[in-house]
Amino acid sequence: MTSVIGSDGLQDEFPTGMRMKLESARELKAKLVEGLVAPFTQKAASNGGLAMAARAMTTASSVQRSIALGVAPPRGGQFRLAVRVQRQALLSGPLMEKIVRQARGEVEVRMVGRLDKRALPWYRKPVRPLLPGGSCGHVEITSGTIGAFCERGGKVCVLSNNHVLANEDFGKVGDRIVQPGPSDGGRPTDDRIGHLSHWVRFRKSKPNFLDCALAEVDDGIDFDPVKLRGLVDGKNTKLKGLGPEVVDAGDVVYKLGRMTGATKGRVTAFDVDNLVVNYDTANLRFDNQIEIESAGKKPFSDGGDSGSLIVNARMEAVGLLFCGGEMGGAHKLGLTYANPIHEVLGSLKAKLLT
Amino acid sequence: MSPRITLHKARAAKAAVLKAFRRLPNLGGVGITKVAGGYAVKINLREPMPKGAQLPGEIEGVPVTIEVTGVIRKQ
Repeated sequence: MTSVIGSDGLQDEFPTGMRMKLESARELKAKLVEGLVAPFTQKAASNGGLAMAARAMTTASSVQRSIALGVAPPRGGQFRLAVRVQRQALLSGPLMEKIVRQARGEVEVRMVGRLDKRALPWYRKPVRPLLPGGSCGHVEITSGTIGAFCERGGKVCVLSNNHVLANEDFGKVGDRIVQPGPSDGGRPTDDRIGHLSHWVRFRKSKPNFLDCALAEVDDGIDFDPVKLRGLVDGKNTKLKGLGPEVVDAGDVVYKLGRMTGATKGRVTAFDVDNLVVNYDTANLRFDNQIEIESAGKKPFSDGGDSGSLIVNARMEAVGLLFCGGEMGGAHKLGLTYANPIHEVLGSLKAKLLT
Repeated sequence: MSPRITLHKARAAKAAVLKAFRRLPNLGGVGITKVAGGYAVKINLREPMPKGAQLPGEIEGVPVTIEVTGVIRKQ
């Protein structure tokens, strides 16, 4: 193939009149990135040639938004160079002209603007003081949720599930608990908030009633037991204490969880027996559970929300979320199940802190 | 119009449902729900019933609602 060196030093390997094959498109893309776009991107950053709001240097990037190149899907059997522009000013100008010329006009240009890494919600990040709804977990699990704060034997404890704090009975008293949970970046030493202290063990051959555990909070770790951050319509509310011992079908409930954040639901059933739940170790049967459907446009809960406190419309605790499925419920968004909170606290000999 | 079902009556019907269908391989749970302001029994199924098999719409005079909930997992 005849190669032509352009004025910008790039080889023109795509003569006019020839259909651009996938391999040619890839080669052209690689050459343009190396020869034109990458140098421009770095140069713009080093001489301050592009607008950037004032902020600390430590947060400023050494790479500026410019143009990204790829290969666009074929149209009529012909591939094109995909040109994604991240600044309005670059839609026209010498850089774009060179790219279009090199590709003989076979380009698909789109303005994509600023592309940000999706910001992590507060409940998946380190949170001090500790708050209900924040990510947490035993050092050997992924992540669950801080449901509430309790007192037992004069010690402050985090309330969550056995499978969040006690690793499905594999944990031992004294095991480290981290916030955020390990899958959210929680490190065994730096993010330690306490240790596993009490839990209700699972039974494989008899019905279970509870999936709950306590972790004693280390001295010096601050916590706020009542703040329910952004729970109702994005506004903060306060946990008011314990709700009635019985919930009723149709009751409105809310939860704050590490995966789906603040959600609103409705009790669809209570006294649910013979509920079979898939765990890592076995399928376990549960009796006397509360069933909840979403009252919004997204599921009431998802993986990682385990351990969330369920509160009623008066902001009183009624349940401890532990499992769910993807079928059934309003708009087929799935169903969530919770242990009644009075049974949880009674079995753990714990008092809810408010 | 039939009188609204009380919670007491619904709980008795739930016990009867559990006794009758406990061995159903696709049974996912049995609880108490509400239908038109009165209590009812809710039967959850992990999978739909096989063709030809049917569950009752009422037991001991208490309405029965049936929902396929699929597999339930720890979250």
